Amino acid sequence: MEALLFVVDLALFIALLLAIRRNEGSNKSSEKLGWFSYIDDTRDVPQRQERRDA
Amino acid sequence: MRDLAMLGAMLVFLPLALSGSLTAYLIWCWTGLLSPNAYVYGFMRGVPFNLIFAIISIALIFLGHDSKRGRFVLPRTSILFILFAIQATISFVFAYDGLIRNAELYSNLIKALLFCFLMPYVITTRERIHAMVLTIALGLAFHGIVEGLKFVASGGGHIIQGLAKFGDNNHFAVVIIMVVPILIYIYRYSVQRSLRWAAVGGLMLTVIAIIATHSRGGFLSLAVMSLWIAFSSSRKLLAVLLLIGGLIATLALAPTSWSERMNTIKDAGEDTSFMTRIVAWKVSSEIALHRPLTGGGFHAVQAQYVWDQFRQSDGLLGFVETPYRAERAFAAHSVYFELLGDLGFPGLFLFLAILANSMLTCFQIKRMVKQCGGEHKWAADLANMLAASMLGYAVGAAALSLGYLEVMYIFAMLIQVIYLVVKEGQASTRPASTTTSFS
Repeated sequence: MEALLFVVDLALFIALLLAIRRNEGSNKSSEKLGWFSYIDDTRDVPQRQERRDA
Repeated sequence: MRDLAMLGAMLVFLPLALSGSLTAYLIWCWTGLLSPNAYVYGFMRGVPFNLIFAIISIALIFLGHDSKRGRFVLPRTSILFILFAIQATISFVFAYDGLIRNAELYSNLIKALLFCFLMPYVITTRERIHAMVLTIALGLAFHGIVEGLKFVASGGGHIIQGLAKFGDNNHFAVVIIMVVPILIYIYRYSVQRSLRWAAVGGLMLTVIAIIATHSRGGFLSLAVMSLWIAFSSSRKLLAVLLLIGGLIATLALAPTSWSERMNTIKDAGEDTSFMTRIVAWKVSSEIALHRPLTGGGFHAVQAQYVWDQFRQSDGLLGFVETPYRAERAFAAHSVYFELLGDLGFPGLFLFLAILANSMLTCFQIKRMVKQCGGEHKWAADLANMLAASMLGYAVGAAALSLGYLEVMYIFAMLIQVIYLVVKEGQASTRPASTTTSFS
C-alpha cells in the first residue's frame, strides 16, 4: 500500500511539473494547469457562491 | 518497486529541473518535504535527491533565464532570516565542545533558510504560488495519508512511531498538522471536482493519522488550529458545527488507548514525562543564562556533560517545583526553550519575531485585500490558512524540540511572498503616476 501511494504521489507530482512547464510557456495562466487549475476568485468564486445561494 | 519508480522519476525530474528554475525549485521543495530516501530501501536510498536539485535550482536562479524572476528584494521576513542565520552561525561556532548534532542541525537550518531566502525570486505570481502550495501538499500530506491509511486498514491497531526526518510520533503529529490548512485551501480553490475530493480525502486521513499518533500536544495543536480556521471563516456556524461533528466522531471512533492518553492532559502536573520536560526547560534556560548571547550550540542540553553541569539549577523556572532531577540528559522538549538554550536570548527573540511577523503579514494581506474590494481574496484565504498552520506549530511545538523544522520557515516565507504578489498586483492595477516599486 505504501509503495502504491508513493508511486501515485510521484506520478501526481510529475503531472504537476509537466502542467507547470506547459503553463510557463504560455501567457494564459490558470487554465493550462490542467487538472491542477485553480479558481480565479475574481471571476469564479462569486459565481460559485451565487450557485450555492440559488 | 519504489527504487525503480524513483529511478524512472529521476529521468523525468532531471530534464524538467534543467529546463527552468521554477521546476527545479519545486523538485527541491518536494524532495525536502517528502524525503524520498525514507521510503526507498534499495539502490536509490543513498542518492542525495535534495542536494542535487538544490544545486540545480541555485545555479539556474543565478545563471538561467526566467522572464518571471523577481527583482532583488529584502522584505521583513528575509531580513529576519538573515539575522537568524547569523545568530545560528555564532552559536554554532561558539558551541560547547563535543555536541553530536551541532554541525548537522546547523547545516540543515542554513539549507532551509537558503531555500526560503530564494523563494521571492522564484515564486513571483499567483500561478507559481499555487504550484508551490500543491507541491507542499504532495510532499507533506503524503506522510499523513500513508499513516492514516495504515491506521484504518489495521482497524486502529497501527501505532505511528514517527519518521526519521521529523522525529518521534509527537514531532510527526505537529508536522502533518501543518498541512491540514493547505488541503482546505486546495479543496476551496481547485477547479477539478476530483482534485477537491482528493484534498478532502487527504485531509481526513491526515486527521486520522494525527489521532493515531496518540500525541497530546498534537491534539491540542489540532484543536487550536481548527478553532482559528472556524472563527476566521466567513461561514462560522457551519464551521463550528463541522468541528463539533468531528469531535463527536473522534470520541466515538478513536481507540480506548487514545482516550486514556488524552485524559492525562489534565494530570500534567503529576505526570513524570511532563515534569522531566520542565527539568529540561530549566537546564536549557540555565545554559542561556550562562551564555546569554551565544547559547550553548545546537542541542547543547542533550550533551550529558552539559546536563550534569546544570541539572540542579532552576534557570528561569525557579517557581516550579521539580523534586526529581533526571540524571540522563533530555531533549529541550519545547521549541522556545530549545532556541533559548541553543541560540541564546537573541536566537529566541529572532525566532519569536519570525512567528509574530508571519501573523502580522497575514493581517496586512487581509487588510490589503479588503481595501481593494476582495480582488485578491485567494491571497487572504491562503495567508489565513498558513497562519493557522503557524499557530498549530506554535502550540504543538511548545512541548517539542522542533525549532529547526523547515516547514515552519517555508510557510513563514510563503506568507511574505503572498504579500509581495498582492502588493505587486495592486501596484500594476493603479494609474501609472501612483505605481509603487516592488519591495
